[in-house]
Amino acid sequence: MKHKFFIVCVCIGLCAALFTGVFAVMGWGDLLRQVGGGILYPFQWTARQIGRGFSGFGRYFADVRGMQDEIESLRAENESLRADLIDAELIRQEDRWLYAYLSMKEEHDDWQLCAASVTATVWSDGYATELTLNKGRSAGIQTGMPVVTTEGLVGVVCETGLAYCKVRTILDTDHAAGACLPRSGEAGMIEGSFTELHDGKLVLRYLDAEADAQTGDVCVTSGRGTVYPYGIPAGTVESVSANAYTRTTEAVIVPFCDFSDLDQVMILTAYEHTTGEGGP
Amino acid sequence: MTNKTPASRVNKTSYAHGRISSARSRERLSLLLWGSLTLLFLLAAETVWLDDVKLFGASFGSPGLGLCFAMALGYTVDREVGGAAGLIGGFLLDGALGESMMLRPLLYFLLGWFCGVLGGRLLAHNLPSFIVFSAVGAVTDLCRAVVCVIFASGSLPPFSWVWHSQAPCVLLTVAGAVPVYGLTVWLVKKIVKT
Repeated sequence: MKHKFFIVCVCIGLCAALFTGVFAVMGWGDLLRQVGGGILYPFQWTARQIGRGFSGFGRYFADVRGMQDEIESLRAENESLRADLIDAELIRQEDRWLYAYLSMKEEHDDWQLCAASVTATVWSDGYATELTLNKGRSAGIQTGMPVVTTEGLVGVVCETGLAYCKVRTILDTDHAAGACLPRSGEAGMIEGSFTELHDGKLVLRYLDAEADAQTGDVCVTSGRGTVYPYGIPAGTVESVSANAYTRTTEAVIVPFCDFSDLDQVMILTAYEHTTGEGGP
Repeated sequence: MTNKTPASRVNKTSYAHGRISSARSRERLSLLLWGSLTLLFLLAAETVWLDDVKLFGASFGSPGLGLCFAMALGYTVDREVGGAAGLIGGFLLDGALGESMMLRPLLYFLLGWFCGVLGGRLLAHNLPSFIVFSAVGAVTDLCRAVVCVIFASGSLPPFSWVWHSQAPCVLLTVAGAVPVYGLTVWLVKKIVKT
């Protein structure tokens, strides 16, 4: 019985080997393979699904370290991008500022401008009366050069070093400059005033007693003197009053430039000196 | 005085034989069912999970778990069970792997059969002796792989292929024989009571 079983099984095995070999030579090799593979396939599929489940489960824990590293790298990238964003914002502001100065340069093609940043400020009642800029003699800056922004007049260079210069602003009580009102042609001098400094304003003095000065008039530099060219806007007239002692008219000027927040200015290094048509 | 067996005793003996025979049939059936499932599980594991075992970056191929199981059944139960498991397992494995010539059914049958024949005669019935049998079986399987290559390509495979690709499989099969033997012994103890 056992020999019969052995012989039958050997025959089956031999037949499988021979038939598959012959079928393979004849090009029908798939017949028996498909039967064997088909029986085992469901079990292989199940095993594969189980394996995938386990590998996914294991990968979750194996990837924790990788995820932590990725978080760290993303955090560093975020910091870097944030710094880049700040830089981009600064560049955008500088770009806007330079564009405004370009417009100013196109308007005054005789002006030679030198951009400078404010590095230090002397405050008086919350308004800048003296600025320290990052440009000095090495950049061709000299004492007496006007300083402006796109809004208007800032002041004049009063001291120079090799790599810095100091600017006395028009709010400083030691500062005086020739100015006029283009609408009426009235001329006087703008000066810093102790009484107006706490409001960030200055005074236009020495106008004629019957001068035509009105609230809202624009005040510009007159070009008289050796410091400022004609036409740099200084501010607008806020109020007009008569000085009984000197028999002149005075006007309080609100400057165009914001002296509580200055960080970029332009130094006027060269210009054609004119007094303007509106000057008396 | 004639020695006659009482009718009641004859009945009892035949009744006992009948019960034992019936229990053995149930055991055979149960062994067939669980053995087949275990064989299919091992073949699926061999072809899916352990199809390319890598240790320290080196590929060790796949352990012959189906072969080990057939030999273990022959070793622990009897040669017929081992031979049948080898025949079926070899057929399924060749089908799953797409071999052009099915030599595994014959080879696995012979290995399962002779493991049952020689087990306990040449060596003691324990794990170390089974490992020796499994090593012989793995080397025989290596020879089958060489024959298959000769049949497919018509020339001898290079020695480097045998050494680097097939020899590690022998080691892996011997390593895999240990858990498969333990599984088979546990399964047989659970099923075979008589």
